[in-house]
Amino acid sequence: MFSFLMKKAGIFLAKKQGAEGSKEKKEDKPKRLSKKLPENLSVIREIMKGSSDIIIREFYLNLDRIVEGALIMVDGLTDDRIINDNIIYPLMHDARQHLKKTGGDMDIISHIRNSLLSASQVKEETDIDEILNGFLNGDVALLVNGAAKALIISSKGWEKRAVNEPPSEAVVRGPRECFIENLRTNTALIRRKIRNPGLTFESLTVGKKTGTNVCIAYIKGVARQELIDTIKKRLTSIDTDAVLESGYIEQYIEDFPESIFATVGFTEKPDVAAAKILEGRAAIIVDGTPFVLTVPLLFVESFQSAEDYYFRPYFANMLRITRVISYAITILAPALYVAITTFHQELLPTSLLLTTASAREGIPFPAFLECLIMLMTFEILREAGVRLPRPVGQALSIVGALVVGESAVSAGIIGAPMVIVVAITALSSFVTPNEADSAAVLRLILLILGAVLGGFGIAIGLLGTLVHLSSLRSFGYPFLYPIAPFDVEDSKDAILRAPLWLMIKRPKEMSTDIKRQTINVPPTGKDIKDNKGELI
Amino acid sequence: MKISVKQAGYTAAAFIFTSALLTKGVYMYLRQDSWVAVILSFLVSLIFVYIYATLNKWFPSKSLIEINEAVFGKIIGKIISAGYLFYFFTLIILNARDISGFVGYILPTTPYVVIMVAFIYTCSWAVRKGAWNIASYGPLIVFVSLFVIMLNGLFLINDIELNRLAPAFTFPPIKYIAGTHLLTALPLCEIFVFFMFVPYLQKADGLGKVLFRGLTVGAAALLFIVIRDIVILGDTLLILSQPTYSVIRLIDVGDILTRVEILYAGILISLMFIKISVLYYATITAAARLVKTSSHDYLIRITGALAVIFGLSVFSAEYEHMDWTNRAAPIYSSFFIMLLPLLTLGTAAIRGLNRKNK
Repeated sequence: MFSFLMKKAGIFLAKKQGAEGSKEKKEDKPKRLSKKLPENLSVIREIMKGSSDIIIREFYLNLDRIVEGALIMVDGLTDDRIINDNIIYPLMHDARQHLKKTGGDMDIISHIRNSLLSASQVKEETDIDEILNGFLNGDVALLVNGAAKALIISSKGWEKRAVNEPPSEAVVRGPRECFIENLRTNTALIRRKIRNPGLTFESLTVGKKTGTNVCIAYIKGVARQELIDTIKKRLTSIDTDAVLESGYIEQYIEDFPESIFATVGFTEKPDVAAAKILEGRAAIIVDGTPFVLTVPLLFVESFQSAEDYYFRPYFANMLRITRVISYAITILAPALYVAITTFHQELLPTSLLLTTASAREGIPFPAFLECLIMLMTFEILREAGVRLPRPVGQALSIVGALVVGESAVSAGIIGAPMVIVVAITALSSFVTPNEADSAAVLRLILLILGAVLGGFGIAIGLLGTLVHLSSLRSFGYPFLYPIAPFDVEDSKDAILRAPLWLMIKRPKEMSTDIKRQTINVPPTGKDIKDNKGELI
Repeated sequence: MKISVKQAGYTAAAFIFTSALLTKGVYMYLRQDSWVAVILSFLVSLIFVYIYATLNKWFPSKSLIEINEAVFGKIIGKIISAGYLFYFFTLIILNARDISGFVGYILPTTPYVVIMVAFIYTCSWAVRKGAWNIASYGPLIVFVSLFVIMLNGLFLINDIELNRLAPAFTFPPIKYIAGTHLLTALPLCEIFVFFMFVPYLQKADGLGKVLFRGLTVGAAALLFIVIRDIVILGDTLLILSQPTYSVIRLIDVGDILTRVEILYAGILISLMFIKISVLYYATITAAARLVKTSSHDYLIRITGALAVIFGLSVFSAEYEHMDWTNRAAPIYSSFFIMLLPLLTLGTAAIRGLNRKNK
């Protein structure tokens, strides 16, 4: 249904845009620098007219005031120490000596680059757009009179948040660092986990107005080249003005935008991103976002946590099963409650039936309406709790839980079992945070089906969901793999997790280098037995 | 993407498994000896699977419609293909009727039309997503169903009385033949419909393996269910309209684990969903190949609408449906899945098409 509506809306909007499209201006050809500094500066001043944060620092490179130069930078994006000590000082002080010695007949830009600047990254540019891009990214642009080239000198240094504990993926055991908004810090966090020369960070710029830096991280020789090519193709085909969060990228590159299920994963933990990269997946790091995208995403990944691999397998598996059950509860509990109380009362044991019936006695609404009211109340409380300042939020949850829940029951508007059902539904939805959004929609669909057709409706709804899920692909990989199509070998890390020493191979078809470790099963058990296999 | 032999094999098992949950017919003939019919029909079905496999080997990666045209020529081939198309369509109707009857038993006040429309619509959605999709979740549903059925058997261990299997081999031979024929023609050899999946198989001549796997798993499950029903219900088999459902209703482990029939209802609906989706898909592809069109969407809608209309009006009463299933359906089915394939094989052999293809 969603896909049908989206297709129709897409066709309508495309037609409208097609009519207006001819009015759009065509972009100019790239502008080149001229050899005259005043001319170049006036072009840049004209483009950046009205911006108070643009600093243009003009100076002379020698005492005779023959060679003029200018530095262009954005206030607040640069590190003043680097600019003063490593750029301005050598240019104004050391340049005099150098220029005297070498005379005036050399390529001044190359000379400055090779002999004067003590900055780590310097590159030459001739295109004005690239120069603009350079200083808007926090670098300094150096323009010299008589040269049709500029130097972009690395001097980034803006305010950024410290690497602290991940707020939405807190763990009991495992690293407590989290990605931040700065792209380079994020790439460094991954590089620190994977000290392998194959780890590659490929950069792109997305967003015509925001010029957001995006980085694709993968290991050469582990990730499949087709996957990387597909990601690059999809990223470069994004034609939008702004990318403010990785969510923008996610919605532009996913395989099924009309589905309620996301087919691109996200994480704010470097260890999770590193683990996925090591499995042959790719991570997409977007500047300004602490959430790193990972592709391809499989449905089972929503039930996995980094901790599963740090704990021993038995407890980890228990947790995983708990997550699956929680997901089932969060999508099914309200629908099942409504279906059973409305159509299939015989399914309840007699004593439970009597208790439920007496609790619902005098309730003015049918179970379906009662359920909708409670779910809506919960969603309001949750949304309000997120938006309100933290201390008020806590007070609000007490109001919600005690006042609304308790008083609604005692006033006889809502039955006590319904409060329990909605409470357990809400609680379970927090166990699988990555699927919380899809669960909210699915819950409502199943609730309506359960209220109209009872258990049969729920069964139909679940089968429809299964059909939909198995038709989804994430960058070409079946979303339900390794459950549908079922694969025994790759089920070693799906719903259950095998011991680490049994995970000999990477997921099939995800990686070009499938072998992860040599077979040594069990790794240490042989130490306590003698050669005949008897216990010492 | 192409379908692997394993995927298609387990989906074929789902096909048989579905009928295993509606086994009333065979009990009518053989009561406590019904298990004999299961074994005999498995053996007979093996012969037919061999015939289908041979046809597939002679005409690799070709669907039934193309084989018919190759063997009988354009006109007669098309007429025979139209016959198959009609047969697949009637199977959709009959199975949709089965599931509506069962759901109507649980939801007595819900009209059949609502159930039928909801079910056929969901199946049409599955068909729209393609053969690979159906075969990808087919095995999952089979594994879950097998697990539930085995677990149910375990919970009922207290109610088992093995002497309900006695006396054995007391019926006249004709009844054994009739029972075997019923089981062979109705659930077991219906996997013939997988001939329409051949163009999408990874192995162009892998139909034999697919059907053998499906038949073995399906027949084993059928045998288990039939024996379980007999040793638990005994003679009451005959008076119950849904014996398997009634068996599961008996489960009561320490007053905690009761009313597990909801699980049975769930797996029956899921398996029936697979079966009708496969039949629906076969009908659509047969029709599309016959009229040489690629716009499947219209065919899906038309077939769905027709299936609902005929499904609702084909039988005036539940008894009529049962009578058809037990008496007429095996003969009707035999013509399409036993006689016609034999005829096709014979004609192909006489015309020397097997050698030509090789």
